[in-house]
Amino acid sequence: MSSAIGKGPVRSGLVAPLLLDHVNTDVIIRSRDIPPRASDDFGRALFACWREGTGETFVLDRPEYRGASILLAGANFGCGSSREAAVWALRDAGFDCVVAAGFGAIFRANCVQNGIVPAVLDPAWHSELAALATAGPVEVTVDVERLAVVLPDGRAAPFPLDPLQHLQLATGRTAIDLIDEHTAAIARFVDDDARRRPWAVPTTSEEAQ
Amino acid sequence: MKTRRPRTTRPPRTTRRQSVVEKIWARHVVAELAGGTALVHIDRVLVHDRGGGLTLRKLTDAGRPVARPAAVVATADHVVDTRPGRTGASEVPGGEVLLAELRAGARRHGLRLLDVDDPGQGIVHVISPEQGIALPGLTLVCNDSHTGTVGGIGALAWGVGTTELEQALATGCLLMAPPRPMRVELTGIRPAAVTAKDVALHLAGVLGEDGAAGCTVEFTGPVVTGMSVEERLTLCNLATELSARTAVVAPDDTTIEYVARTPLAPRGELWDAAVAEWTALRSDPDAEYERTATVDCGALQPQVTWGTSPAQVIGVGGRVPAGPERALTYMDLRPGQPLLGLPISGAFIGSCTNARISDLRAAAAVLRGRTVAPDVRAICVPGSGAVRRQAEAEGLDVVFRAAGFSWREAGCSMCFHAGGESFAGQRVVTSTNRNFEHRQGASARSHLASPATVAASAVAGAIADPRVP
Repeated sequence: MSSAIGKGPVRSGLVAPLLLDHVNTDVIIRSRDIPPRASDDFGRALFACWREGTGETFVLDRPEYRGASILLAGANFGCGSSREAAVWALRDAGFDCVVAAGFGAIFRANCVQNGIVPAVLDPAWHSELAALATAGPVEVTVDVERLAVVLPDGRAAPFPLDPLQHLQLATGRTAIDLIDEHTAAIARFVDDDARRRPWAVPTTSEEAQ
Repeated sequence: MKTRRPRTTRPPRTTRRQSVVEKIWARHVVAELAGGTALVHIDRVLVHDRGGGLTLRKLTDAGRPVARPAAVVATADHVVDTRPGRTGASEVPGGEVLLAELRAGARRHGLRLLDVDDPGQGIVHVISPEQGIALPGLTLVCNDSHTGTVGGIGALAWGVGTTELEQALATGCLLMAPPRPMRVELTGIRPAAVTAKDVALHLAGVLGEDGAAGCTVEFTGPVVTGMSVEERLTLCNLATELSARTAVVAPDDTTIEYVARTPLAPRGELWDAAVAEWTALRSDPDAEYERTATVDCGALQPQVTWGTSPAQVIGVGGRVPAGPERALTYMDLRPGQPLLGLPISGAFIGSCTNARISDLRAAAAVLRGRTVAPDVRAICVPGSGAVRRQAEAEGLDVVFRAAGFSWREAGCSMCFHAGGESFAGQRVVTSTNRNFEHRQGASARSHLASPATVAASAVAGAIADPRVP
């Protein structure tokens, strides 16, 4: 459990624009397409309900966006179900950053847990990148250390990350490793808590009867 | 009643007055890290079959035990069959693997598993408050976005992905940013025929799909204090559809009466200590919120969604608005068209939103002595084994069956299509929480509504107003 996650703090790649708002995780990967084992390939099912039978019309299937590693999304991307498979589908399809106007909270956390950068741009920068990326293939750099999306002309569009997410994405450290630094504090808390809130200690059905 | 002083006291983080959310949060902070992130103690971990077994497998493979097995409850709800006489198998592609991993993982890690043959089995967010697994003032996580449902009893509960679930199982804690409190005050006198589901859908319509994005919603106001606990569970359930991080209703006498009847509630001195703590769990009058909203419920009608998000909703007597083309096309609707009278071929009552006993009673009251229209496939899936047994004790199953509803075993069932049964290609009125494209089956067109509206529509064979006899 101590293996590093993610691809390091600086990632450059082609931007695929999917500029719809409120794209939910059911659409990113349908429930029935989620493979049962963590080692399976989730990428094949990415956006299946929007791609099936559409030839090369869906953005990810258009020749000019092949090989994109940065998805540019709209507002509230990844809302809905908590399925981490939505992030695994993006990961397995080659994406290591999602730049958006906003994210569903669980999806955003799931991105960080899997080393994918969830970058929220303010409306002006988002519109500018959207205009660039829809005009044709464009490469940008997502720099976690600088907390900026660097556009082709060198200008830097800032994005926020909370300190924990920043640390995880910059270092590749897993949350479980970070928590394990506090083992003694946790043990102390659990001990104190059993005295402070004895009613909160879980009861089994046998004890309750 | 004995009270104990905590052995270690922590200075308050700030001097300002606190909301109930901040009070519960502060009780659970194990350590504060740089930048406001906290290591937070998680009192209960709920695990379901869609991904829960794989998470336990990862712990097993890493040689890592579950930190506090007694704090964990696993249940099989997402991929299990709900047809009468089920065996514990799954029709879902890969479902057998998911169930086998859950069963093996629960056994290996010594976790309580509520499998299909257990009287306690049911939808995870229905069983946790019903059995007293979740209690007011506790923190709780589950690998499901609707975990905030149990905020209805005053617990602070978060939906998480499976990696964070693994962290909570392995350490009993999570690293989290502090909650961003948002107060949503519901005012006015709610008309009798307007349910918590109608209130919640209206709220989604008013505030939008990201109207509470990242926030922890505290529901307040006379409409909320007048709600039963089951209604509050429905209300908090749908806060997820506003992209809230979670939602909560501060515990009050209604909550305490509800919890007192649950099988796993603390007893004796422990109960007295718990009630003393729960009674203090209310927001200070001048607590600060990052955002606030006030919504009047005095003139509400029963609500029905017309689009592909819960926020695309109107009163049942209204007309389809000029909404996004994509949603109108998917739903095969035109602006200006009334929803009343729109023919349906499916009706579904179930899910963590609306499958508790009060929901089934409301639907049965509409169905009594009536029958479902020909060619409407109508299904009722109780939220838990306990709900099903209670409904059968009251004869509600007879009412549903006589009306032409299929009467099922507990589970998530056709709230979403995971393979197996679906409403593919059908127009459905449904008591569930998501009308997303293809959610209930390929090209299924889902209209979210209350159980009473679903029942009335099933009888009419078209979207119908439950207030019309």
